[in-house]
Amino acid sequence: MNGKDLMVGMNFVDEKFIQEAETKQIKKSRPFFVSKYIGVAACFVLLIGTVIGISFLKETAPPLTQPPGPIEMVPEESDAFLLDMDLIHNNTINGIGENDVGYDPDVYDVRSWKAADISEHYGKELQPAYVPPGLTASSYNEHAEPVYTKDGAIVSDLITLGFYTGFYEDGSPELFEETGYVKGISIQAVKVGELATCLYLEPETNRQTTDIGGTDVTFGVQHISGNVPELYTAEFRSGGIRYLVVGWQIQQEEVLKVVASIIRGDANISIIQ
Amino acid sequence: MEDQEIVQLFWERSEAAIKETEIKYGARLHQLAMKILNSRLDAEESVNDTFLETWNTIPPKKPDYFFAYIAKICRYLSFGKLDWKNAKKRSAELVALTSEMELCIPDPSSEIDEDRTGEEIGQLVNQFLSSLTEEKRLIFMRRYWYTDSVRSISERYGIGESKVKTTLFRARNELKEFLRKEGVTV
Repeated sequence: MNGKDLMVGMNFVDEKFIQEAETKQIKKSRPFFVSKYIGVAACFVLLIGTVIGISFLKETAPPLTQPPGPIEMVPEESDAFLLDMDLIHNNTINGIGENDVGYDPDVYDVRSWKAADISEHYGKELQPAYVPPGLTASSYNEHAEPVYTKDGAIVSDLITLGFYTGFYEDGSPELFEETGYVKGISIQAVKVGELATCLYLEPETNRQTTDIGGTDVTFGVQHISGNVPELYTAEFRSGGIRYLVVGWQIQQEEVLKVVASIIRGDANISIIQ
Repeated sequence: MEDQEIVQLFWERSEAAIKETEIKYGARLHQLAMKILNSRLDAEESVNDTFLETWNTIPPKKPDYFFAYIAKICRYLSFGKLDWKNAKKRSAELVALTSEMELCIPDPSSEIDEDRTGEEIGQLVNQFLSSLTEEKRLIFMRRYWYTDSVRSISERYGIGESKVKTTLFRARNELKEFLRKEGVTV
């Protein structure tokens, strides 16, 4: 069976469904203010009921010897988080600028963090829940070099995570001969300090953001001519951490899924084209 | 004129039946055929054949849903006229729809289900449609039966295009799962 068979097979659908789709309208949900006030009214009734109930219990029921158990939460049916590619606002960029903040060794100290130090500092694992298939985490992901003042105040906690198709012996990501570019994703995160800079062609006031699960994300795309692939970026702040995600030679959908997985904390994400 | 009155005219073998059907539903049938064939001439022919087929089948039939009955004939005849090899050149929307339908099939390359008839597939789709919520069913039917565009569905029901796409995406996944359970593939 193929798509054509299914389209033709639809010819034999019951007439009641055909009629229904021609004549019925989708029931609209209540206007916001109505549902809001119904909600308020329901809470009020519940509150009054609870007060009356408690008063009644105090008068009639024997004292409780056991505290009531926790309310059992029934998780809702888990559905994939859907992202519509048509709703993504792309801003044109002209590459990525280096984080060129210099730290004078007479004034600052560079320390060394291992994976446990990074997790402790950020209060979470920075590895995204979703990593595109075929990409492997860099061995450098478990290491960071934060910068401190001489009196111990942190001024940069920049972490860079890399996920690429392959690595050379020294741990650096492999370059593709045809393009001279790596293939994969890099994620920079900071609470304090500076990220690398996306070189947007439009001024900040003209840039558009996209709402991903309640977080404003600025997407960037660099259209490079010839054999050089497009470059995708995403900048956002989530949980007090600023992120820059960069996709090299991979689909923008994959960058989007990584971004959504960082924001949501899970990998159950689907893209609608 | 009410549908039942038109059906009555067919039963009386009155030629006014066809005229009244054309007045009431001619444009809608033409629109449906056009979306499939993307050719004014072919669509016109399809609609005329629909009137003829309706004339030949009522009586003995007495459809409960007259519009659905003739629209079903029209869609069937239009797909019969469609030259699939050249469909790509003629209707991008239809090609997109077929590709979307392809996504619902657990394993499109499987040859096991090749001998399933259109009627059998229709029965499966009927079962699936019965399992959907009304909202999802309406959107699914507008897209894959009436071949409406996402924008047109959005305007028809006063909902966002994103909501339409999301609903279709979920419905397609549900259909795929349904077909898998029904053994449509290995």
